[in-house]
This record gives sequence, C-alpha cells and structure tokens, in this order.
Amino acid sequence: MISAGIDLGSTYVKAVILKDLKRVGYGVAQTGYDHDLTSKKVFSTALLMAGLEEKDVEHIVSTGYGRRVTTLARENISEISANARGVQWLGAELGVRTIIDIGGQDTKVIAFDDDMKMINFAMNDKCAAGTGRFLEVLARELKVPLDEMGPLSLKSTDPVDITTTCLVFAKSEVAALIFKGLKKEDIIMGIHMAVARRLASMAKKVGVRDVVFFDGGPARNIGMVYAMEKELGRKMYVPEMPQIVTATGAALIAAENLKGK
Amino acid sequence: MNGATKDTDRKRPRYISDRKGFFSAEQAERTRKRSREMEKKVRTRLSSAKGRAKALAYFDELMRYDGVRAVELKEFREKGGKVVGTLCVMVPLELIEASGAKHIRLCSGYYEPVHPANELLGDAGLCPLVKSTLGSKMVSSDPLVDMADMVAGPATCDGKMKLAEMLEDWVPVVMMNLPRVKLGGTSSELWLNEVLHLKRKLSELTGRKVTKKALVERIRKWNEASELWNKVCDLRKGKDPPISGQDAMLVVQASQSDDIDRWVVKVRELLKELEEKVRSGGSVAEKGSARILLMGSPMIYPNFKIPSIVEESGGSIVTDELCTGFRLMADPVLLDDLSEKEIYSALADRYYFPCSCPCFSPNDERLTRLFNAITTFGVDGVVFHSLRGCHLNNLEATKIELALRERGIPMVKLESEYDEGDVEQVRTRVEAFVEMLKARRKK
Repeated sequence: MISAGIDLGSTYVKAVILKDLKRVGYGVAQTGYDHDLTSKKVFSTALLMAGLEEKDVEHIVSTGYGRRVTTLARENISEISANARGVQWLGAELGVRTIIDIGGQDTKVIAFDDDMKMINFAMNDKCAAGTGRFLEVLARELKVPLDEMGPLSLKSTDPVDITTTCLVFAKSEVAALIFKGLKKEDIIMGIHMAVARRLASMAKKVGVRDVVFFDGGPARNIGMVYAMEKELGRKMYVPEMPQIVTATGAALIAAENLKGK
Repeated sequence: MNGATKDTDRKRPRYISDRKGFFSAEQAERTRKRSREMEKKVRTRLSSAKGRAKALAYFDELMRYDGVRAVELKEFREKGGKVVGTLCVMVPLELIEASGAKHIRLCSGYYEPVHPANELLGDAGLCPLVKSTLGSKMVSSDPLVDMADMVAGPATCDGKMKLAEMLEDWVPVVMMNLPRVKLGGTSSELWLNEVLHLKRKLSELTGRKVTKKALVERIRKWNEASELWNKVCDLRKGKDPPISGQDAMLVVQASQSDDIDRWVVKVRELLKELEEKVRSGGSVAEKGSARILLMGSPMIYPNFKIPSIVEESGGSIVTDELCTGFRLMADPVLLDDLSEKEIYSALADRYYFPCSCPCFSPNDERLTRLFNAITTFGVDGVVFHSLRGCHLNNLEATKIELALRERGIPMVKLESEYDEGDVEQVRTRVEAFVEMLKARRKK
C-alpha cells in the first residue's frame, strides 16, 4: 500500500511517501508563489527518491496552511491533527505526552493523554512571535545563515536579554545591539531564549508533561533545542527529520483512510 | 449651578470638534458601500444553506443593511414617534415600548466603520465592536443607527461606557449606572433606581406617562416571546438540530430592533416549521458533526465570522452562552403581584441577576448556566471567542478553561478582529478542534 502526505507550510512545502507504512521518500522545498506548482515539484522529488511513479500512489492527504491550494490531494486535514498523528507513530515507543511543533508562521503545542490521544492544543496568535519567521528575519538582520545560528549560539558566554517578543520591535532591538558592538553569538543566544520563553508560556497553558517531543524545521537548530531545554527544565526529544513529521502524519492518515475504504 | 449639564453644554461636542468636516463624502460613501457588501455576502451565505427553514426569510429582510425596519422607523418618526437605541442587554425593552417609543440595538457588527473610529481615537487597543458602533454614527453609515432619538447605555465595560459618552456628541444619552459588584440587596436597589430613572427620561422623550397597564401588557408580550424562544432552542437539544447556530442568533437578535408583536407571530411560524422538520428527521447539521457551545464576546450580525467558521468545519452550534444569543431572551419577568413596586423590581431583576456578562463580579452564574447547558444540550466542546480588546472575556477565559478542564470538556480559545484577515488562522484552529472532538467520541 502506497500513500503520501503533503504539508504546505508558510515557508516550506514538505512531502512524504509511505510504502507499507515505511517512509520510502521525501522532499522539501521553499514555498514559492505558486503553491500548487511547488507541491508538485516536492512530490516528484519524493517519488524519485522512492523510485515510484505518481500512479503508484493510491491516496494523498494534504495539510498545512496551503492544504486547499494543492490539486494533488483529494482530502485534507488540519496540521494540528496531522502533526499529532505523525508523533503518535514516530514517538510511540518514547511515550510522548507533549508536542512542541514550531513552524514558519504558526507554533503549536499539543497535549496527549496517557493513550497518546490529543486532549488539548494551543496555537500562537497571528503574530510572528515564537515562530520560525522570528528566527529567520533576525538571522538575516545579523547576516548569519540560518543553519549556522544554532552552532554559533552555543559559543555564547554572556547571552543578551531580548526583552520584546514582537518581531518588528525585536528587529530594532537587535539592530541597536549590533551597533553597540555586542558579540553575534550572545545576541543569537538571546534571540533563542526569547523564542523559548514565548513557547514555554504557551506550553504551560496547555500543560507540559514528559516526554516532550520537539519538531518542525526550527527544531533542527541545536541552539533552539538548548534554549527550550533550559527554559522548560526538561529534555526535548527531537526526531531525525523534524521538518517532515507533519507530512508523515498526513501520509499515515492517507494510508488509514485508504484501508478504511 | 448644581453641577448638572445644561442643554447648551451638551450640544457642544466633546470628542469630535468638526462633526461634518472630519470625513470626506467619499469616506462616508465607502463605509456605506462596504457595509452593504459585507452584509449581502453574509446574508447570501446564510440563506443558501441546505435545509434551511423558509420562515427565516423574514429575519433576513429585517436584519439586512438598509432593510425594511429603517424605512418603517423613519415613517414612525415622521409622525412624531421616538426611537431609543440600546447598547447593552440590561435595558428593559418592555419599558421603552410602554412609553410609546420603539427600540433598536445600536451595537454594530459591520467591519468597515472601525476605520473612521480609528482615525479619531487611534487604535487604543479598544474592542472593534465599540469602534464600529462609534464609526457608524460618525460617518452615518447605518440607516438604522441614525434613527435613534435617544440612547440608553448601561455602564458595563470600559469601552461601552465611554462609547455611550462619546455618542452624546450626536444624540442625548441616558447612562445607566450598572452595579458591577453583584451582591444582592444594595446592588439590586441601585439598579432599580436606574431603571426608574430611565422611565422618567423615556416619559420626557415621548411626552407620555408609562402606565401600569401598558407596562404589564408589554411584560406579558415579552414573556410570551421568551417562552417561544426557549421552545426554539429546546429543539436543538436533539440529535438533529433543525436550525443552525447562526440562524438562531439572527432570530434572537432581530427581537432587539423589531416590533415584538410581529416577531412573536413570525417566530411562531418558524417554530411550527422547525417542529415539522424535527418530526420528519430533517437536520441542518452534517451527520456526525461535533456539538459545539459558543461563548465569549458578543457577535453581532453581520459579524458571524466565528460561528460560520465553526459550522463550516464540521461543528454544529447547538447552544451558546452569549449576550447576542440565547441569553438575550432566555428569562421572563416573574411577576408575583401587580403592585407598582413589584412590577418594577421584577423587571429590574430580570435584566440584572440572570445576566452573566463578564463585567460582573462575582459572576459564578455564568459557570452555573454553562455547565447546565453542556449537560442538557449534549455539548462535545466549547469554542470561546474573545474580540481583540475585550479584556473582560479574555480574563474570564482562563477561569472558564480551568473549570471546563476539571470536568473533561475541551475548550478552544479564539481571538479575532473585525476584518477577514484572520479567517484562515482561525479556521485551522477550529478544524483541529473539531477533528479532536470527533476522535474523542470514537474512543
């Protein structure tokens, strides 16, 4: 049985192909202007990796901000449910109770009960505080490639305190810090801590219990993981490819719905 | 002299110095045009819903922008009749009718008039409902609002209280000192005096005394209306609700500006049709939809953004805890005897004690009513909506979420503005919530 999940996020589009409930292919690309076109490109990358053709895929479920835009899928589901489904599968042995999923535009915290069923969730308001966008824009401001933010921040000895969580104000705050001549690593660590504070307050509203699963693209940032662990005082479990957890969940749902038919 | 405001003082605007010149004709026209377009869109969506009762068409026409009500009231005023605009749900409408005046609800659900209010006040973190109501008056964009000869405004939240004050730049306002600490004796006595004060102001406006006979007759009519409204709501307790949450809100909100005698006739027709629908197994909800209770900040037609998203995402709103929904007409006036004193205190109590607006403290009545509704309506989950800047609902949300969690009832909290910009974000949350509720039910 072959199914696929496509996650059309605000910043990246991700696709995952499952064959007999094993991940055999995936693709990731930056969200362009034409979401439908990007989703098709990402899907064909995943097909190439899997050594399959489009006609082999029996069912596709889309998710994410642009889930209704893609013409590939006949069914769609909210990214919260898709993410939860992905973690139920990937984190089954861990016994996950809390998920922190940090996306480009939205950040979600999901609470599981003891059977790993979703019992509560929270999502950030419509501003960029506590999202990947916050990190991305400030990285650009600092002229540091996004991938280097994490390793660089870990060199920090005296992290600065970024007091605002509003991206617009944070940009001017960071600009002022650069003018002051503060070390890049200290500023970056401060940025990570600011995002972590925001995420932690959201998580506390939902209720944090171990084990905490941390996913979404920014979870690849080792400095972000460090900041989250410090702020919440708990260990974060980051999966191998944190950015495709939601797409994996959508592919699983596609497989289940195929079986149900 | 004794500190009272002289009439000449009142004529001098306090918030806007140049009422006529502040906005260009084009701005005013744009506000009217966009308000009209917005309402039409909402009305078209509501009226094209599958399986919708035919009797609802009356309420569409009544509530539409530039609808029949404004025309009727214009004629009424030309013959010397007076119209009173109300701002919150604590104003006894029976009293307005007994004085010979007619009432309209001023609170605005139009998005566009927020902009003129922003120009005057700045953003100020103020709730969009207050801004929209003020904006409507500023640019004269709502024909119904322009019918008001006087405003009755209970001092509920900060926004509404100052809104009433600001409206005085255009129209005389009776500010009602609502006792927000709800502790029995002293509070209800103060409120009774405020109701009697309104009665005097109404008599001054219409030149007519409020007679006991007229008031009792109006109370009986409104009690009849309340009984009918409860019957309509009872039909939503069953597996197949014959009326959507949005349509129910449309019907009850119409009562605030309609001629209540006619409303009663029309709701009786509606009730008959809905009962028929229930007998034949008709339902407006999709099969297996999640049963939702909606609560939080007011949702005034045509701002049905939140309920429309809920009902488009596999949720069925079976009841609500809203001042723009069930609560509006839930309670009758209970008359023990027909002495003047008893009539007025029963009337004042009806508009005071059952009201669970978060401007009150203590407000445990809200929780009691909420849990009661959850049980009787078989609610799966609660959607709590707060308008941006609605501090009181925002604050109570924390308390309510905790109380619900203790009882194992999921709640999602949404915040929204008066525009379409946040629709997709809100939709994602609501869809996930409904998916979660359905998954829980399967278990």
